Amino acid sequence: MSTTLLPPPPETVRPIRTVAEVSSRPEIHDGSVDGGIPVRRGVSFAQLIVIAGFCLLFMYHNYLPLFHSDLWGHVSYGEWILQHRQLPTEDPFTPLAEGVPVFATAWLSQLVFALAVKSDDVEWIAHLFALSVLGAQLLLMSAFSRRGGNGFVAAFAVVTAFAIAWSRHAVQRPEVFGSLCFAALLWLVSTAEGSPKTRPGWRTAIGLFVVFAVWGNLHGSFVMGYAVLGCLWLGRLVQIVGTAGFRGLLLGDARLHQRLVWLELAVAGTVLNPYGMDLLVYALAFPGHPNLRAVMEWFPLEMNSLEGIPMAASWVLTAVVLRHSRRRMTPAEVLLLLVFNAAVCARVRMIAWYAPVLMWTFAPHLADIAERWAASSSMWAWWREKLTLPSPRVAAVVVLFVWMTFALSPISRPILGGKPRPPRQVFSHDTPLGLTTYLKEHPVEGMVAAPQWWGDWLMRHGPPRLQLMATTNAIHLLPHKVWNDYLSISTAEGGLERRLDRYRINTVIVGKALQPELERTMTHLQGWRTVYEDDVGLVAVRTRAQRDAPKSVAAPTDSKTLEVGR
Amino acid sequence: MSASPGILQSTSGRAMVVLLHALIILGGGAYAGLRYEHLQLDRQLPTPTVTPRTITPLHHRPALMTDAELARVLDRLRPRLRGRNPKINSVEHSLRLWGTQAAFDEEHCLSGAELRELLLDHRIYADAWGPKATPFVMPDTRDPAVIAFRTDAGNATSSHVDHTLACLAEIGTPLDFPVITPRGESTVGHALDLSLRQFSLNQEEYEWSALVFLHYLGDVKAWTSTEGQRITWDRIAERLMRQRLVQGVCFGQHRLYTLAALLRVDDASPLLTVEMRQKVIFHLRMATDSLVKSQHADGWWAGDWPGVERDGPNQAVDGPFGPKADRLLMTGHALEWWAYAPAEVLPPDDVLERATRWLVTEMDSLTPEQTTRFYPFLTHVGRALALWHGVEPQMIHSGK
Repeated sequence: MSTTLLPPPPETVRPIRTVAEVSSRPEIHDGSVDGGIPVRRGVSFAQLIVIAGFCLLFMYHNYLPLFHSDLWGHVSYGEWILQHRQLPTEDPFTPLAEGVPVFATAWLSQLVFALAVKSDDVEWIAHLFALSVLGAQLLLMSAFSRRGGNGFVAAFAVVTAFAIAWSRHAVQRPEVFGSLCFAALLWLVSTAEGSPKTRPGWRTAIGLFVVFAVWGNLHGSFVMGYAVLGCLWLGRLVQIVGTAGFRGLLLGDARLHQRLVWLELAVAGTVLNPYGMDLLVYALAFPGHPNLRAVMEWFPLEMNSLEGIPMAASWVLTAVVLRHSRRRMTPAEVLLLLVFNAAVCARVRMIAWYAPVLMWTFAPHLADIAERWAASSSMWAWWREKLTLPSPRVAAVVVLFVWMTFALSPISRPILGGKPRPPRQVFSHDTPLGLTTYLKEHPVEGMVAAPQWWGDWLMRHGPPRLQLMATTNAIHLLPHKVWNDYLSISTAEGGLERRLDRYRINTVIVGKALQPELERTMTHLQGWRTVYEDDVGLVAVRTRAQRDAPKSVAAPTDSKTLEVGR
Repeated sequence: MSASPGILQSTSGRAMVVLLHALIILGGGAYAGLRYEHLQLDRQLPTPTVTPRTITPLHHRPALMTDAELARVLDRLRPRLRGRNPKINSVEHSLRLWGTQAAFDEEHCLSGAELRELLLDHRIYADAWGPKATPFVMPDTRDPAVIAFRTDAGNATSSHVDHTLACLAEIGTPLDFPVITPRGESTVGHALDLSLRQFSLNQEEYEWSALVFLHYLGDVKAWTSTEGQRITWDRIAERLMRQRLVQGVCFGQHRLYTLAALLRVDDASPLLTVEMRQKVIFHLRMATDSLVKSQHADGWWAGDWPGVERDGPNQAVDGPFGPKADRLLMTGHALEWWAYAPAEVLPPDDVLERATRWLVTEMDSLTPEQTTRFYPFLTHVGRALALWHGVEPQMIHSGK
């Protein structure tokens, strides 16, 4: 390799193989002749490993128990929409959120969830979830592959992105459809960016428009798509100005124009929703909602956390890539890294979008590093040849693997038959199944204080007309005062009785795993009796007739009475 | 860098493309801005009326007591508050009873105007409480144009959220009435601004806030709180009826008073839906039934008045000043809200008569020390008796 003092021009150190180049490898694709030499049909061992990985990924997600949190709130919303043939204007399930307007930013996802469970087989949600995750990962694999031009690197990038965003991998909510759209966006952009054509790709543009039109109705994360497209456009702008000064802008750069068109089409696509432009305004303002300050996924990044450790690892990876890649980082790549890093630092849940963007940005750099490393290793060349050699036998193994994945996953049951899985396997461990049965057999009246993470579950599976103080799905809809009071009750802060009185709460449901303080308090609080208890939770009710210590029980109310006479 | 295809190859083409992008971005941005403005407009707080609405009682029964009996009761309740450290709670209650027109020939008594000055002029307050006392009228540190009345922090402060404003509203104080704060002059309207900004349907004390809004918000039927919740009078009524009857200040009687006042306003200027009006009437009727059932043979009530509610029996609540004080408090407050309540909510006449007779007798038996200690809730007794007698307290006092 020759050395030079001059920095290499951007994107020209090593010719990046385009899609056309990658897909023209005859040994993999079509078995056509390459220079007159017949090539073998089949699947290589490397491809088998990748396919096996995707099979395991699918099976794992298909078996993941359905979480007891806001997933059920989304199902309930979808069912409400189906039943009323309109979108809710206020939360139909949480009395204390009355009068607070609802922006059903995920109405289409909710509808999909509701349709999925219409047959009363809730496992369809698990199937949907697993298929969405598989789709997203396949799209990311393809996007990384197109950008890096290296299948090994693409596989590494998919695994790394999945590992970095591990804390979000089991999120069963409309966000999963948002992730699918996000992957589709990166795939579409990779397709166009990898294309040698300079004129705007209309198929990409139309694809982006359609993706955002769907995304805007599926989940509020479309804003992250804007961030990607905005960085690409701004990065190109910086690149032009940096290369040719502001006069460069007058030259009419096709990519700059193309990227701006993408952004405009993305916004135009998103506006195609029941709320029009208001949805965009709402989605942009949403992270500032005061109630979210108490929700862990909206916390700023802490290094000693589920997100902090992978973030630190990703920064090490960044340092390695920057050190060893001979490719110059484009301004767009720098912007993408800065914006998405900042997003995670501000709100940890953004790691779900950061991870794919990071690996998408790094794919060509990793490919560059990998190529050089491979070139210097004769052992790797031998391995590579072995691993990429197509074989009909391996293809047969792949077919078997895919079939086994299907047959052994719950998704096969509607087709192949079989017994439904017991609730303990379908639903997450902490789902209050016994407690829900008790409540159905012993309906309670009035407002109930229950853990918000069980709220949506109880709302859908509990007794009819259950009035819950808070649900996960309604956190942002509850007036701030109510949310604060809920948090105080949930952690058994001082003034518990006063707060319970204020909402006329005569039933308290405790989640033992996360509310040990409340559990301790409720089991000892005078005037309250535990009427149901199991491993995951308990139900405590007031026993007014048995109250015999007015000073301690009614102290907060009394203290207000005292004030009159001061 | 990419070559420039098609339209971008000519200068005019490039100009056209740039113009098109600019139009799209500016147009989209402007529309988004307009929508944002529109959404913010929905969340604007209501515009109050300068002069508060007067809410008059519905019922008078002069025969329940003689002029002389009422005069004796009111004489005990003269605002003998001149001097050091007058309790703000007493000042507020006294002002509410006597109004701003009252004047007394007794040296220790403050006139109605002086009572209001004590609340609204920091210089007068500082004279009474000393220069080192924390001001009662506090300019809001985030927005100096907004003022707050210091609450729930001892004798030099008001006892309840928005109690001061409610007193000022009930005596007809306009919103442009000047308030002298430690930082300069403001108006009562700025205190209402803060009350509206801070109002939450689920705040702990809301009885007086609702009363303040009833007086100052004219015919405003709904608005959006700073929490983003649409506030309607139906929702306020629901909130006033949510808790158990005995819970709340003065054994829950202030909530009933505000509900009665709400119905009174709703008579002239509909604020409630028909269904909610019926619900409120039913609630007050239920409260009356409980009161009728729990009235002592002598005519008084105490903290155990609601008896059994739909979710169980009530705990007897005792006040800190003993049974006599509790009975005076309960009985005075009950008679007060009944004066505003619709006819179908009133108790039988004999219930009113027994209560009135007991109050008159009991007020006569109070020692000066008891009168001072019980003063805030005795003013409710005085006001209730005056309302049922059909007179303003200052009229009886001045012999008009």
